[in-house]
Amino acid sequence: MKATATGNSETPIEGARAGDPEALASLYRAYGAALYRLAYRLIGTPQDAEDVVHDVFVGLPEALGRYAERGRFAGWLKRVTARVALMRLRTRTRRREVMLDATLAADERPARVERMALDTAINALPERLRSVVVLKEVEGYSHAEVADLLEISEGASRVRLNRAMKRLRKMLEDGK
Amino acid sequence: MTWKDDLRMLPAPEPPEGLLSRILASRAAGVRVVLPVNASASARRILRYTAAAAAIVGVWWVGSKALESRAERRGEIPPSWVLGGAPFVPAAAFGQERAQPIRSPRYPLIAQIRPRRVHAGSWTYEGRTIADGVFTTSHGTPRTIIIAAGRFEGRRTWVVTSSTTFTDTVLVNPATLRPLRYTRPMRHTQLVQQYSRDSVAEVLHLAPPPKERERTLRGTALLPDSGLGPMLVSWSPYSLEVLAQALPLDGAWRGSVYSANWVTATPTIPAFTTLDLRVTGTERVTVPAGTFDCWRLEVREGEDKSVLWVSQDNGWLVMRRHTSSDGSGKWRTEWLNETQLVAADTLPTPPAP
Repeated sequence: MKATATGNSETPIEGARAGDPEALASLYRAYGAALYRLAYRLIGTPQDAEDVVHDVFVGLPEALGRYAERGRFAGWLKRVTARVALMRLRTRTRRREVMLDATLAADERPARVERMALDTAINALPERLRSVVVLKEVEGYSHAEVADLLEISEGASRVRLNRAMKRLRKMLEDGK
Repeated sequence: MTWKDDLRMLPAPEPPEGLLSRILASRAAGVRVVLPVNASASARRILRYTAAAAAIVGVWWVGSKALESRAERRGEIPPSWVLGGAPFVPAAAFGQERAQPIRSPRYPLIAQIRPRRVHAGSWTYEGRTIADGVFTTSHGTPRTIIIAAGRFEGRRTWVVTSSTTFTDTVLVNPATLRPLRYTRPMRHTQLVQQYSRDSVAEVLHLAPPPKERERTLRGTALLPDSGLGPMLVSWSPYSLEVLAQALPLDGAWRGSVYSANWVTATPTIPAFTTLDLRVTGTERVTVPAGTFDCWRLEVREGEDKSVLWVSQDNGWLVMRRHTSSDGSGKWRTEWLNETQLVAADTLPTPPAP
């Protein structure tokens, strides 16, 4: 199911704005998984990612009152989730956990193994570099958007990405 | 497929089964979370910078007020002297401050003079102020203008000075009647102006006690004229008392001349004042120094107007009157400042330079 901010899609967004639990559940089913993955990549632990998504959907009905319905709803929701995740990151020391996908152990094709190494390398990055890599390279945000989310300058975002990429490259090469 | 593509396909776990139920339960229990919806980081940054700038200005303002009141209590020099030169309060001498505009001359600048008519000697003037034509106040000790021959940087000059408590001295080029150097020592201040053909450089040394308050202001100004005709120095002995001797006055004569002010005071006054002179008639005048047939010379300095009586015979300034008024309506007071020549003593004119 896809909820949009335009057209006749009154049900999920407007319903959730009115506090309807069914509409909120509908939005969760449409976007929950993607938001959870984003939160997980930014914050690094499934427990914290769960808390972030929980907070986003609990606060969503009231937040929709301030949603101007310009641009894509999914993009807006992702930005809100990223902000919540980053706020959570700033308020505590991130627990370093390298998650190994359970399915990977049973399926060790070379490509999957490389991705696992990449995932491990990203998890090993310092927080300030990791956020930029996730937002820019994984989520596809522009440097301007990354700068806005992280409260840094666009130049700093470019520098951090450059440094992160160098480190990732080195870690992946060393790991071969 | 590059490893950047791999990045986008990184594995991530799926949300746990019970998350939706947990969310709905929290909502049902009345839990509310305020999300950072419109919190633009750039807007927050601007807000932070604005607040920081406002705080800096506030601290500076409070500090300057505190200094001002402390200085007032102790009778010290005003804080503007203390803060002069600081980044927020650049000194007048820094030159980046907008200078007062110089008024355009009303008549052609004086170009033709008769410098050889200037004599060495001394001229003593007595002054008084008359209020509403009734109350008369003497200006006190008579002022004597002295012109003497001297040398400066190997060349012959006129040394123009006065006998007041300030031993201010102007060195004047005898051919052009333009100032070369002006020094004015005062109680806690020393002013030195050095003139070149096209500019004036000024050093104003302020030395009010205590010693830590000493300041030196420096300023430079381009001269407003072509550098050929005469120029005067305001508040110095070198004024119309000297220049009048060299003016080729006749019944229709008129001309303008610049008078240099303190360059380091340009934010409050212009660096140069324009004097517009015009002969308005002849008159026989009797003063303590004698009776003289004079040109009546009107001098305008902005809105100010004075009348000078200049001897037709030798160019001496015999009398000067300046009227002004104060107040308004029936309480208006008319002031008349009058100076008269009380004595003159000339020496032989030195050979032409």
